[in-house]
Amino acid sequence: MEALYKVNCAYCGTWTTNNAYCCNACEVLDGKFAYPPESEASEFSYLDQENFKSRYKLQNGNFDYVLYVEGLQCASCIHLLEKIPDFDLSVVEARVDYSQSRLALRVSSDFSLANISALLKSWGYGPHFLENNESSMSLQEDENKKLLKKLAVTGACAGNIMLFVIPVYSGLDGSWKTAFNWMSFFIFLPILLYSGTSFYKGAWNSLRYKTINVDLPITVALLSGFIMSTYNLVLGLDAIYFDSTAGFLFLILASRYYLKISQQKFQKSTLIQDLIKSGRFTKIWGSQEKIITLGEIKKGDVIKLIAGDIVPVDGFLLGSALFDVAVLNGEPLPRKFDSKMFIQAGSRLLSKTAKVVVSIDPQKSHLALLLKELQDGSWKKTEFVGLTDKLSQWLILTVFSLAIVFFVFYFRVDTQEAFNRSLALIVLACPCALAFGTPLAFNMALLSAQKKGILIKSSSVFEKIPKIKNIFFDKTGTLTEIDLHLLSSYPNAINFKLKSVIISLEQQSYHPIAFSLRKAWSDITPISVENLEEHLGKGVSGKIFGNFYELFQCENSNDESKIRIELRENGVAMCRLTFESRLLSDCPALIAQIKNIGKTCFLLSGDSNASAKKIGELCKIDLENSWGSLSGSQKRDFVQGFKDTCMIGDGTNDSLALQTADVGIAVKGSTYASLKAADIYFTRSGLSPLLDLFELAHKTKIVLIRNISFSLAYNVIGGALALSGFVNPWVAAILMPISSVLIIASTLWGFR
Amino acid sequence: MNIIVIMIPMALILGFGFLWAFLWAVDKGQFEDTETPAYRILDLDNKEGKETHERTHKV
Repeated sequence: MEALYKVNCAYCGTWTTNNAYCCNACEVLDGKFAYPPESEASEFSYLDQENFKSRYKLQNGNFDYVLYVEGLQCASCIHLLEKIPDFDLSVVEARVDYSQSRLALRVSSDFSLANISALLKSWGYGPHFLENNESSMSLQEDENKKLLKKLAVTGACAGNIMLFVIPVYSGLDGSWKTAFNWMSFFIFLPILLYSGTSFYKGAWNSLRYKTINVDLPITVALLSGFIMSTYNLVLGLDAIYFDSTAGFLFLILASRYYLKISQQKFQKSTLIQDLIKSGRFTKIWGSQEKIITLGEIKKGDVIKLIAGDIVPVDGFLLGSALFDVAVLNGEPLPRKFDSKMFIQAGSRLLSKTAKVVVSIDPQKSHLALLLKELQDGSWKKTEFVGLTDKLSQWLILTVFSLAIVFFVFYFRVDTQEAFNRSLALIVLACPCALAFGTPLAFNMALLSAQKKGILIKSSSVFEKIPKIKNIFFDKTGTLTEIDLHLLSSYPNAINFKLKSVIISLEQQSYHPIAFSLRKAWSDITPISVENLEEHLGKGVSGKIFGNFYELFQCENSNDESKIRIELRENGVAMCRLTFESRLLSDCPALIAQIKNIGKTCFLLSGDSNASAKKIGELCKIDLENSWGSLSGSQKRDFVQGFKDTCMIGDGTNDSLALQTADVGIAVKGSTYASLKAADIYFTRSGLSPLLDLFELAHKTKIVLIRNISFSLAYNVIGGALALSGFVNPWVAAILMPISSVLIIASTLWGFR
Repeated sequence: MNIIVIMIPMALILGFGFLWAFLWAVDKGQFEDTETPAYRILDLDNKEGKETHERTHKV
């Protein structure tokens, strides 16, 4: 159906569902441009303060500032953004990176961050300046460049060596043969002195810290290949392996480069998720206001909040206001806080404005302590060493000791042959295929998870997910919608006039009821109300066309999971509306499916016991597994009592449990604390990503098992052949990369 | 066989000349962003280009 409404953009021709133009850029480029009004700039004026400027200014490189631009759509966006110097004369050069949605600016001294942000916003983009430490991409890019250059040098040298070896293999003899071999030697030098350096470093580190990594066998193969070939060259012997050693290194560098690129592709897109957090707060003293960063907040400061803001630090309220504390204790309804009451960081303001006196240093606030606890705990999680890591370390150790033992025993029989066979063993059986195949499989899994709206912090969860037996669900925001839903009304049908009165009364309210009404009756536009007043925690009142209307919450609702409001006209009750926080539509079916594959489901809620049991019943979670009135640490203790656990939640009160569980999953709309604690984050709403995740973990497991069994078989057979003398070093050097290519192909095929 | 004395240096110069060109391009950042330039070339700033574009899209 939707396709019917698609049209060609009037400027660039992209298919679009919007009107006429696909994006504002096309509209602007088509000659319809208006400078942003002055008032727009003031919204961003805080950006021009020194503290913000220094936070974003880049120290080195060609550009001064980098922004993440939300809403880059088409080629026109790139053209428009690169024409910024025509619109804002203080910008010297603008450069877009489309794949990363980034805009880099080179500016003159009178540049204003506020003006550029206002300009971008008026064009319909979401500008986010990147902090200078966040754009450390350049460091990564330097590393990529180095690796690419090493790869190029190795490739060129290996190719040329192979050309010079052809005449030798085809029977050239005498002084020309020596000349060609020496040429191979000289062309090998750049590989030895330049391309191999990172492997030497890795091998050195592995010796120094007494750990084992793949760089060690690679270095041994490279150096011994070179030394033996040179030794034979000087003595005029035949066994010269410059060509195969160079080819071996080229293939290893190539797979390393590919691995790195695919890894970074994943990291980049997850980074962007992290930085869309505003991190600015308005500090008030006397009649002055100043916008400061989180780090600048001190004890005793007065912070002004506007509706939708999250309280950054614990403090005391000045004047009364409504707060949404769902993220702290899972309770869906807002709470009214009176003057001088203590308010916890993480609560979200629902009233228009509020002032909070910061009562403790930000580092000691509830939220900060929680984050610190999470950080300390996260060390325990990273200790988890993957099976494949252990396996490849064990393989390297075995191969090395086998090679040494063999050399020592065979040494007296035939020195040259002993050396050849040991080297062939090390080259052939070095677990490169395993060492590359596993991270590649994990990367492919991470990437395809990301395409399905699942962000994963560490690939080690893929080894844990298949083991999960007990799944714990949070209630509010996870199984139920955070927003309230209009359930029923009395009388059943409400006429247009009353609807319009209700919408008009609620037009300025941030109460969840107001949002759900606006959503349910989106076709009704509010009309003006005289003396519109919001009575905190009770309701609203005002005059429309001479009649006095009140919209109040009914006190006596015997069912805690529902709330009722009543509209009165001049004191006479006109209608009643009932709201409830609704269960996500796909929950019961999904939980049934999860139970089908033999997992046990639990419900842990901070909300009252009754409503937890009720939701649990609706979701078909066993009654004895539904628990209410749990605090954050109680949830953690509960989860701790089980093995092979997975916690799914969204609130700050879930964060400890999310961390304790073997796999912690934060659903869409989660708080900062739970995002930090969780291993996995769903960017798609609902719980359907959970099934995708299980399926993906299963797929990954199959690919890994296939890779591991293949490389074990290859290593055992190849190793035996090498030791019995059927494989000489240069055949080994060809076989080894072929096995890597096979593993890579099998991995890619597994995730096709 | 004496031709080899000329051919080998030529082959080396050719091969390593291209290697040098590639390294130069990497250093200049030619491979940093491989996506945006493809769009940049589509800039419809010149009138002629835009008219052709409109013609082809209206048909």
